[in-house]
Order: sequence, then structure tokens, then C-alpha cells
Amino acid sequence: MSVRQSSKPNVPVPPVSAGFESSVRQMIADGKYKTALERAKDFHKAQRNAASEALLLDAYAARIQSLLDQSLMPEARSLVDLVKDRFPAAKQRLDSIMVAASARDGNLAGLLQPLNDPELSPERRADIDLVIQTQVTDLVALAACAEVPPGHSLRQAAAALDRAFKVVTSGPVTDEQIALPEVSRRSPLAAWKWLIRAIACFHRNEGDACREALSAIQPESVPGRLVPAMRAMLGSKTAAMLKPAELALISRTTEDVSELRGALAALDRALADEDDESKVYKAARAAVRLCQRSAPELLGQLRQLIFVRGGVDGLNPERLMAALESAPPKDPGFFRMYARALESTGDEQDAAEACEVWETFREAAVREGWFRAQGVETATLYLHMADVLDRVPPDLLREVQRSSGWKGGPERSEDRYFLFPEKLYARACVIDPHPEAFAQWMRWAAGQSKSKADEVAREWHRIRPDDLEPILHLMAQAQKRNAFPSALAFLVKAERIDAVHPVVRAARLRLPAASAIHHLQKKKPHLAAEKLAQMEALPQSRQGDRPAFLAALRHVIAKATGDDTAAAQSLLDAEGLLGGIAAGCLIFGISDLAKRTEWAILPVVAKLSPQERKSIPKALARVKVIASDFGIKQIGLPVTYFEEAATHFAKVADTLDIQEIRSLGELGTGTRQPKLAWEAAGEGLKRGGPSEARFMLLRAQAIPPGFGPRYLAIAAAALELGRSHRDMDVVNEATEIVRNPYGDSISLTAEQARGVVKKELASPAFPSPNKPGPDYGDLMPKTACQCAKCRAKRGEIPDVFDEEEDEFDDDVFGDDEFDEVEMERVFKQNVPKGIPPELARMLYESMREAFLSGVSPDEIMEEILNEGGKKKKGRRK
Amino acid sequence: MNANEILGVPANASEEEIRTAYLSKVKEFPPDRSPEEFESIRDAYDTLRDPRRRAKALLLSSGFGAPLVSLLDGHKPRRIFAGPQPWREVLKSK
Repeated sequence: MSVRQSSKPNVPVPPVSAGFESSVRQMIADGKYKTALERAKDFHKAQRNAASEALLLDAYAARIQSLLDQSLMPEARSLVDLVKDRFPAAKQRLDSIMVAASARDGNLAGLLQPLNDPELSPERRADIDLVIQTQVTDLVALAACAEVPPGHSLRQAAAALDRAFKVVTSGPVTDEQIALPEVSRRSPLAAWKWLIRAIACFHRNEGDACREALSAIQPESVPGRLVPAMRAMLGSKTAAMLKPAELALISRTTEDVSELRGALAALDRALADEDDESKVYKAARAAVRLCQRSAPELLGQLRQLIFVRGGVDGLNPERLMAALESAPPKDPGFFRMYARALESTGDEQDAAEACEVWETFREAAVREGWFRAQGVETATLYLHMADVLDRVPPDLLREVQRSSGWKGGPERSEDRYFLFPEKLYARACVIDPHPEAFAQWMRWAAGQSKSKADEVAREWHRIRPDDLEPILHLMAQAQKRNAFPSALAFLVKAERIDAVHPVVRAARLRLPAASAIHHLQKKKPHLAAEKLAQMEALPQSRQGDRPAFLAALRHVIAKATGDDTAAAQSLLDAEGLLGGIAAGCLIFGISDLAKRTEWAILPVVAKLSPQERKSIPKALARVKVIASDFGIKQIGLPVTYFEEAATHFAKVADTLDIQEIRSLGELGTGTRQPKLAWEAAGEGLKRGGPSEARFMLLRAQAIPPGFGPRYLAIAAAALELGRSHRDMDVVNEATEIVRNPYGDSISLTAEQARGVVKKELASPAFPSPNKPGPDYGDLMPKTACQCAKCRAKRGEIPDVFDEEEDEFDDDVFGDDEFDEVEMERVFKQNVPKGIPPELARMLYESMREAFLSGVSPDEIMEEILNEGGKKKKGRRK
Repeated sequence: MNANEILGVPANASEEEIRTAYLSKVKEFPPDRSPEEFESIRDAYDTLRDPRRRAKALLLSSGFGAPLVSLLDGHKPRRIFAGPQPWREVLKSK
């Protein structure tokens, strides 16, 4: 090769400046070696000083290096000879470049020979190490280099590294195989050790460890050349474009799943397309085959997913299985997936089937050690299954239970327990007696029957005696049964657990009050007096209007015992605390509860003074508040008092606070005095504020029959207002009104609800045929009539069961829910007198179980007692 | 990713294994440097150390419902031992 001395004779002599020198160096840095060399030559010709010579030699060195990098060794050698000839002082520098180049090609003699020199300077040694570190790629050549003795650490290290490199790139290795004690941390080959470690981690799929090893490799070292490719292999995005060799390495060491990804996406599309089923089988077959090739470890899971998706979508199982080429593995994961898929279809039958699959999952999971048979996972699964069964309508669930082989006997149903919510809850709570589990069981039981809820509460209390919830439930139920000693015993337990709980505190006053009234009903005034004494001893009975209630109760008890003096005194006390009308109403209300109204003397309204008549609304409101405080929901009074309250309400409304207005409204709805409720609701609406939702609901409840659209519109407005005021009690009650199980329910926007309020405020009159009030027809859901005639008129095909449905009178078939009260009533009517209580209980339980299987209470009694029971209407066969 | 995948522990991992995995992940993603990752690690740990939440997560993490393509999410591609040659090609390709 000939190096042109001067290809630009007419180039002007550059000015002497530091800027020119730096521009030449910039060209070198940018890889424009040839141009940089030409400029440096011209510059040196003009300057002829040490600086220009240094610049020229740097340009020569860069050019030589670039020729070597392009593997143009002869050209590089010619240029080196030329430069050495012209600049003898640069000989050593140029020789070093050539030695390094030779070393890169595996010719290491020149590089390593100086290592035999005992006088070798540390600087020279460092230079050699640097070349080994950055240029030597051929470990075999280094290990075999005869210029240094066989025992030399460099040769030993290179041989060990070469062995490890071959092993680690050819198959799995142990840590011992790549320990490489021959390679010290200071060795110029130390980066190779990290590289081998990184490759081992890469093949073991230990991404983090691999990245750590890669970060320990110096970028300028030979192993550093592999770092970008390896980072890309680990999934990192690389800034620089990868070279062909790097791309080849990636494709040869990492399985490409892009084709599989495409096949899976195609299968997803095919599954979503309901028109062409055959596409699914084709796409499934293609995906399975690709998965087998590029990700065989995912094949089982893929088959499971396709099988489950296909099963739920109702694909042909034989064709699907043929497309999968083999059955999916039936492991716990498969059953879990299948159960979840069945749950998600929204089909009630599928939900029941899901529980059967969950049971198979449980068995498989326990067998394969996913969890213990009696572990918390099993309990959680049972609760989940019970929750799933809760979505199945009772009729369908009974049908499923029957078709699963259960004939009604509790023992025989044990092996099909997973279809019986109660058994699932019971098992869950035995395995993991946790309050949340019991609470879930209680919620379910409360939806079934009162006695079921009681049973659960008793079981809960037995297993967790320190939980308050079952105690409060049992206490309330005992009170409802008038079993006051039991209720009080539960109250004592509750007080021991949480004496400041609001329900517990309220019960301390309410229970003795209810008990006292019950004793009065049973004509046992002395026992009522005992309860009264207990109440009077309580500090909370001295708060607010409570002393007035106690005085009224004392009056009634005194009347019952015939103690007129005490009666007169307590009447005076009550009147002194409440005023004449309110005291009279309260005493009348208590006497009414005791079923002895003759003990109370309430003057006829017509005989009251105008002032007294005007005071009736306020008096009633006060009585209602006091009664509520003592847990008395409804209080009985002569109708004329309610009518009078409704008449005078508007005149005295200004003197009533919002609580009193609400109490009057509730009193009106509770005692079927709609006009009073209407007046109170209207006044409450006028006041606005957060209570307006409650007053709208009261207004809806006060509307007499025959004003359906208005009733629904006001209730729907109450629902919307309740939502906006976060009054969940109103929301729940209003939802019950507007819910339409046979069609679209009315639903209002906030704006529409506001419009209803406005219209109602403008129409204060109680609805009557002459004054029906605002028309809300535009707010009603637009649903077509579904009767056979209307459907035929519209040209729709009438349902073949329409005629039969018409014959199914509600009175005849009633609802499907388990009516505990009716059951008890029939049982008590028919049970033989003198039967031992244990036997009676057993009979009752059998009757209940049989009822759940669809037999009517009468038929059951007839079967049990073998005597003709009266056929009752309203029971479902 | 479910809690087990976040912490990198199998479904039947013991409490000790879960704790060890959590501590190692926290070391890797400390809250001051990787707040988002730390948050998800913390949530996963909270789920897994509460036996009832863990059981619930175990039951509900079926993978059903997601597109089939998501099967490849987090899937580590298979590694192939190609021998030393392709590696050497890169080393020599400066």
C-alpha cells in the first residue's frame, strides 16, 4: 500500500492556532482518520515544531489503528514502516500498536515475550495487561503461548477460563464448575470470570444475578463486548443498534415466542367471534403446536385455558380435544380455573356446577399439597362456595340438590355437602372459627329464616363466647319471644364484653320496660313493679323525658294493683313532667300495650279546650320520641287524636323541631294515619336539608292506594336524595319500593329527583281522586305490557306457558320463601298434646327439612302423624 | 401479577419463605428509590402473610378471563445452549 504524501498541493497553510489543532483532534474522535491525517500533515509542514509533530503522530496512530480495526494488516504495516522511517522516536509507540493488533489475531508472542524479563517495569507490565484485557479474545492461544512457561498464572487462568467458557455455553453447570480459583481478581482476565458467571445465570433464568455479574464487567474489556447483547437477551432495551453477530447470538440462545404470541392473539380473536366455530379449532391447533415448539413449559397451561374457555363457550368437546391433541393436565390449577370460569358465566346453573368443580379442586389441592385438608384455605374455600350457592335461586338449588341424589335425609346429603350452603358454613366455621366467617353464615341464615339465624347465633356463641354480635342477636330474639329472663341473661353477658356499646346501653333500659309491660299483659303487676324498680335504679333512667315514662308506667302498675293513691301521685308526676295531654297519651299508650286501656282515662277530643287541641301534635311527637327511646315502635291512641293532630299540624308546625316532625310522620305511617304522615312529610320537605330524603320517603309511604305513578316517583326521588345525602336506611327502604322484579324499575337522575321535590312542594294537598297531584307519567319506565293479548297484538309469539301462568294465582301458590311462622303455626296446631319437648323438636326439624325439599307443612304433618291434616292454601308443593 | 409472583414465591410457600422473599425484594426495591415497586411488594406481603387473604388470593387467581396472549406475560423465554461459537463471534466482532 502506498501512503499519499500530499494529495492537496494547493491547500493553504493553516494559521497557527490552538483551534486548528483541536479541530484535527475532533476529526480523530469522530473517526475521520484519513482527513485528520491530511490536515495534520499540512499543519506540520507549515509549523515544523514539536506540537505539530505530536499532532501528526497522533493522527498517524489513529489511522493505523483504524486500518487494523478493518483487518487491513498489510496496509497498516506499510504505514507503520513509513512513519518509523520518518519519525524514529515514535518506534516504540507504533510497535505497541502492532503488538496489540497481533495479539487480537491470536499472535501473542510479541505481547507476552517481555513478561520473561525480570527487569520489566511496572508501567510496561501494566501496558501488557491492558492489551490482554482489551484485545485478547483467543483464550486457547493465550493458554498455549510458548513465550511464557506453562506454569505461568496467565496461561493457567486462560486455560481454566477456556474450559469453563466451553462448558457454560454448552450445558447446565454447577457453581463448582465455574468457581475458577485460578483467576484472581487482579488478573487482566478477571472480567472473563464475571462473563462466565453471567452466562451461567442467564441459562439458569436468574435475571437479577445475571445483571449483577454483567455490571461487574469493565466495558472496555473483551468480555465487555458481550454486555449489550446479554442485556438485550434479558429483556432490556438497548440504546445502540445490535450488530449482526449479536442478533445471531440472541436468536440462537433465546427461544423466540413472537410467532406463538401471534397465534394466541389469533385464537383470542377466534374465540371472540361467535360466527365461525371452526376458526377456533384451527387457531387452537396452531397455537398448541407453536407452544409445543417454542414454549413447551406453557403447553399444559395453554391446553387448560383453551379447554376451559371452549367448555364455557359450549364448543364441541370432541373437536376441541382433537385440536388440543391431548387432554389438559387435570391438576388443581385446572379445576380452579374451571370453577372460576363457571362462576363468571352469570348462569345460575353454572354457579351450582362451579361448587362441584370447587370440591374436585379441593380434593386435588389437598392431594398435591397445595394446602391442608383442615387448613384456613379449606375454610376460605367453603365460605366462597357457600357464597357462590347464594347466587342460585332457592328453587333451582333444591332441584340441583335433588338431582344430585339427595332425597331429603340429612345423613345422605353429607357426601354432597358442597351443594348445601349450611353445611359449607358449618364446616368452614369448625375449621376456622373466625368472626367474619360466622358473620357471613349469619347473614345467609337471616335470609333463610329466623330459626336458622338463631341456630347460627347459638353456634357462634358456643364457639366464640366473647363475640358480641351473636349475643345481641340472641338477646333481641329472646325479647321478641317475650323470654325476658333469657334476654336479660344475654344482656349481662353483653355488658361484660362491651358495656358502652350503644345497643347494649339501650337494651339495659328497654329490656326491663318490655318485660314490665309483658308482666302487665300477664296480669302480674308485682313482677312489673320489680322491673320498674330495677329501671328506676339505673342512672340513665333519670335523663331527658325518661322519668316521665317511668311515672306513666308506675301509674299503670298502680292501677293494675288497685293502689289509687300511688296512681294519682304518679299521674301528677307524669303530668308535671310532660303536661296533661302528653302524659295522658303516654299512659294510654302503655295501657294499650298492656292490653288494658281501661286503666287510662284519655278525654274525648271534642271535650278538650282549643288550646289543648292545638297542643296535640307536639304532645304526640313527644310521646313517640319517649316510646322510641324505650324501644316501643308503635304506640296506640284513639284515632281522633291522630286526626286532630293532622288537622292542627299546619297551625303549629312552626313550633315543632325537625325531630318532632319526623316522629309525627313515622307515627302516622306506623299507625296507618296517612294524613298525619302526609302533613309531617310536607313540613319536613319544606325545611329541606339532609332529612329531605327521609321526608320524601315518608310522603311516598303516606300516599293512599290508587296513585301508583306518584308513589313510585316520590319513592324514586327519595332513593336518589338518599344516595346524595348518603342516608343508607332511606336508600334501602326506597329501593324496596321502586324495585320491580318483573320489568324495568324507575330510576331518576339527581335533576329529576329535584324536579319531583319541587312539584311536591307545590302540591301540598293530600291526594284524592279529585286532586291526584302532579303527573309523573314521563318518569315511568317505558315497558311494553307482557300479557299474552298485548304480545299477540304486537305480533310477538305468546309464551306457551302464558295461559298456565294466568292460572297460577299468588293466593294458591304463594311465595317460595320458607315461612317459619306458618310452619310453626301448622306444627303447633297439629302436634299431639303432651308430646315430650325433645321429640317435638325432632319432629319440627324433620318437618322443616322436608319443607325445604318442596313438601307442604300440612302434608308433612300428615305423613308424620298419619292423620288427615287440613289442606292449606298458599303453600308450594 | 399476583402476590406470589410479585414476591417470587410458590403458592405453598411457608411464612418464613414469604418473609425472606419480602426482605430480599425490599432490599432490591427500597421505598426511597422505587416507591411504586415497594408499594406493590408491600401489598403482596400483606396479602400473603394474612392466611385468609392469602387463601382468598389463591382461590381467585385462576388466570381465567385474561386474553390467552397474557399467558406469555412474565414468561421467561427458554434458553438454548448454543455452544461457545456464537458467543466468540460477538467477542471478535469489535
